[in-house]
Amino acid sequence: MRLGAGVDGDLYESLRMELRRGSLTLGVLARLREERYGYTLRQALAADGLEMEESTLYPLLRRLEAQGLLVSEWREEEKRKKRFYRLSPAGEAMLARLLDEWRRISASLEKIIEP
Amino acid sequence: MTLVDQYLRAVSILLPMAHREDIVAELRDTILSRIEAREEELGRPLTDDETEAVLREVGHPLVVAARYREGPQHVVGPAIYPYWAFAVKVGVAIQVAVAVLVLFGRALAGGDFAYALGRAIDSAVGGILVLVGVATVVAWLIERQGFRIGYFETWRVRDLRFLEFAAWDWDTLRDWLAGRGWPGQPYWSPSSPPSSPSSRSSSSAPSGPRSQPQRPQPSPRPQPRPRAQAAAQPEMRTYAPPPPSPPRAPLPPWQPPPHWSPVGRGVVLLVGGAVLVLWWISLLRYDLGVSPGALRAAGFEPGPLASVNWEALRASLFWPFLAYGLGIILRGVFHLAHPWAVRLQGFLEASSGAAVAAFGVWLWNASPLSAAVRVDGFADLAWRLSAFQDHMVPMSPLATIAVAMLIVIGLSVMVHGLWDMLFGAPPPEPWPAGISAWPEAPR
Repeated sequence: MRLGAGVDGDLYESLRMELRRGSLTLGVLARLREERYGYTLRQALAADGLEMEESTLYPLLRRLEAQGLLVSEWREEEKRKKRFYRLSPAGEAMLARLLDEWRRISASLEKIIEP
Repeated sequence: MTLVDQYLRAVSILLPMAHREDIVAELRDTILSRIEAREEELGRPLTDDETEAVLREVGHPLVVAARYREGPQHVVGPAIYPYWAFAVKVGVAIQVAVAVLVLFGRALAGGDFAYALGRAIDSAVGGILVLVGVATVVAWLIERQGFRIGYFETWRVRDLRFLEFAAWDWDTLRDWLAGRGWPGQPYWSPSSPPSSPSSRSSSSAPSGPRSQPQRPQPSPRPQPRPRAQAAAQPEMRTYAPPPPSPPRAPLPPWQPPPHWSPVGRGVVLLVGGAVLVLWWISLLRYDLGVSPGALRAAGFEPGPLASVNWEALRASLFWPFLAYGLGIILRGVFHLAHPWAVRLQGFLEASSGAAVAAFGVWLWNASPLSAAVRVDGFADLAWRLSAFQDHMVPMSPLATIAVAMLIVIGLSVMVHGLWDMLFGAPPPEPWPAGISAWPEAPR
């Protein structure tokens, strides 16, 4: 039975998850500048090096849609109905702001790490 | 019904009804895509076992459904947990302490020890479960139901003394037994920069008239570090762990706690009222009831109190007392909601004191206890007190004194409340002038 992040590996894993959490949202929003459905979105993110669990991705998509940053549409493709997501205008504006912030954080960290 | 259908059915009944169809359709597509990808990989249809493995990878229906639910996935979140843990710790300590005291009392009075032990365990365990449950429900109300507690933003430094009650937990006891310090010892450095000499100077004068009482010291210690040496690195002091063999800090002499802030009093009222109500409705039991026989065995003479019908008295007081307890809780809520409404708080306090005094007067004059409690003049009281010369301790004079004290306390609370109501500030604080050096803005 595991009772917390006692081992170094677990600690690394939990810190890594914390570090990644915010950037995943950014990756999803940026990738949805073109329309995709969940499965292909996940593959595209993985191809870019951002592996993401389905269990994280789908609730995230739903949340972003409820917040008005994404729009979705059910369409038939490959014999099955699939839900296609795309960035909404509000989402594009939000993405631009978040990317600004991301670049700022990144620049600050670079400065701190290698002065 | 295929395995996938069975799985989706289990998830769907756990989802909010409005989004069920939508979420399940999407989930179905995800799962089928996954299965197809796996089949492509293997070049053949999946067996049932392999399908089930894919579904298990997707997650347990309870977990999957919870991801789609809004709101936090916890009852006591990280922001509230320290408060929750503190409340539980104090509650458990008090329950255990009361149970042990009652057990000792019963053991000293004679009687069946095994029975008393069983009752003590019963009341302690039951009370602890109730307190943990109440603390959790309160945390749930704050975490999920949008209850806002002003204390989190408005707590005051002068209220923090109450935290010292919690010094006696298991970790501290273990450190104490290992000779690493004594419970309640704060990390208090006497060599801190002399920022406000009037409040701190005494702490660096270990030979003053009110020097600290003798504390268990595992070994003789060197003198405290010279002040200049420590002042060179004042910021480090807070974060650095104590050095392996630190000079033992002399204790600051005990000082009376400063006046509680309205918010601090609100928390006390809230907690006290809640404990009172829980005890009155028997959710918290302290097993305080004693039979006249046991009292006589312990050397007390109940006298006229033995003939009082306690059950009937309790029944007749049930609603008034419950209303009083709930009133205290509401007063606490009011303190937290309007910490600066000092005059209105004073009015409520005066009403509460008046209720206590009126209750005392009723006990004295009109209650079933009246015959045992009431005395007509000092001669009567002296005559009753003369019964102390017998070998039994008579209880009715004790009850007389207790009820008289209840009336006095009620009246003084009423006066205190009236003072706040009329002047909008508490009366001058009765402790020495040095206390004004506490870092607290004047009202």
